[in-house]
Amino acid sequence: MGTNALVVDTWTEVARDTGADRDHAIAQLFDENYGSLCDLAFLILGDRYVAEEIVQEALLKTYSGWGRIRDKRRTDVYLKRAVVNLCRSKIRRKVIEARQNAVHYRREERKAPDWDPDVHETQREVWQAVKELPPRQRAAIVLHYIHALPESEIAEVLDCSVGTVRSQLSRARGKLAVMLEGSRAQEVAG
Amino acid sequence: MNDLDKRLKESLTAIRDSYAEQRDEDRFEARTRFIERHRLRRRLWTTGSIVVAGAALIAGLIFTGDGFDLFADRAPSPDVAGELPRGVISAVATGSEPVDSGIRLGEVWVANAGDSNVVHVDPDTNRVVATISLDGPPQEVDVGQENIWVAGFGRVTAIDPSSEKVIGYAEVGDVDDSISVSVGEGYVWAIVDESQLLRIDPATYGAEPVPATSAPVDVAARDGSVWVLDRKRGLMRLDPLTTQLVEEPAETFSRRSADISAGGGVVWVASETDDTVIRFAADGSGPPASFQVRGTYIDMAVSESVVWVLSRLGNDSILTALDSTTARALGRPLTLTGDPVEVSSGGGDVWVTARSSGAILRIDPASIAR
Repeated sequence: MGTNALVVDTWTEVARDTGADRDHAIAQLFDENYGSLCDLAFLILGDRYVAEEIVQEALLKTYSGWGRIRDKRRTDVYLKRAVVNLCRSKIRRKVIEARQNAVHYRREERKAPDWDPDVHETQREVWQAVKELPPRQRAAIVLHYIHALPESEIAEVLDCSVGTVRSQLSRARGKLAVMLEGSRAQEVAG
Repeated sequence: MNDLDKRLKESLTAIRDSYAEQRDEDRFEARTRFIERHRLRRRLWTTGSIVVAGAALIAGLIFTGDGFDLFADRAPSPDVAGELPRGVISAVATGSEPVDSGIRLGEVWVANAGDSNVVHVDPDTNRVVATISLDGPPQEVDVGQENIWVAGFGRVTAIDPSSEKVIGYAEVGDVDDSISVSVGEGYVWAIVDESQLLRIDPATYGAEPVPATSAPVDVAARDGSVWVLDRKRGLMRLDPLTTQLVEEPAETFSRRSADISAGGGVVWVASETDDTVIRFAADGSGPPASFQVRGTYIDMAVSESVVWVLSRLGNDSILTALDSTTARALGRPLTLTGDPVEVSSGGGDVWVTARSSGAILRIDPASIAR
């Protein structure tokens, strides 16, 4: 809450500020939220480049719509919600924008991305199973296990009731248990 | 927490951590791109607003027939500053964890602790033009007339700037020792673990201890003297040839002082206890002048007419220019990002090393006046 309070203090000045001050405010918003939002988007999408583009988009949208946000001390919830919605939309559309392609291409020239799945078999299995979940359940799992949010806050982010969160988490766990048990059985049989 | 919960949490956390490591490597680039994107949108919005306002104005003129000046109330120009913070001309990616830099005859040398190398940045093109690998992570770099000197991993290493190769080194301590280096008065001066000052012969790499000091923290050799800050004895002035104590100036300076620079008959001492920078004449003439740093002192760089002081204030890093004759602040301080850890100046240029960003920032000295 402390960091968001700082953002609020800065942003309340935006209306009468100069371009440089606005740059400072947007940079501050980036510094305080980029890492955790990227983690969220990456674990939902499984693609770091698209994840990072989506986070930038979410930050810009939240910044430009600042005047419409009712409770400005809940910025983190708004940002997470924006990221989850954009991720879900991205998964549905499966459209990679030209700009993302360009960024992806440029970065791939520099180095091979991502963690080596062969080195971490258990992690690979878990992540593979998580990626099989519907986007909303995937988001609930990430918010629960990685961001350690209580169910009430997950509900806020996913824009649904606490009961729905519980059922989404329960279904997701059930599916994951089956999938992970299946892969373990295959391993034993193999 | 049952087995499934544990497995999910551990695996997802490991995947997240692995990703975060890679993401952080690109953070500076991502941040710059993000701000560019924000500015582009703002410009488009401003332009769009002007177009709509202009159309409305023309429509109004057509309908009212008033012949007033179309341009009298023109909206201000959109921000056209570059993509970097005020005062920063360019950000040159140098490698992982740059920790120090030195400037020499139109060359900038940057020590990257994360990559265990030193890179040569060409200030004409703002690009890395050479990379010299080291046997361990460097801690400091200083430039001499002949060679580049790098401290770290138990050694002081010499690099020939012409061939861009390591040409020799002096063994001065253990691999884990903290080592600082300063070149001046014909020698290379190294402080090992804040317990020993060594004088290194640049021709033979022979290192001999300087017994006059007992707990040295920083050294500057200029104008025929070697100035040493010693935690036990305060400020000391040594003879560079004999390494004997010449004088211990009056105890005007805190024994917790952290940095010392000298040049042009003036000595600058920075204190980390009260975050002040003090200027005094090397010959003791006139009273010392003091500047209270904004926030916490980080580093300073002394040039002919300006002393650059880097400090941290909250989440911001502040670069302040001081008048070298009065120790008073000049113009408007610059606010920098990217975890600046060090400032260097030379040849009219000022450079700030931004450790976590893996970059060195080139500062426009004139920007403080804007």
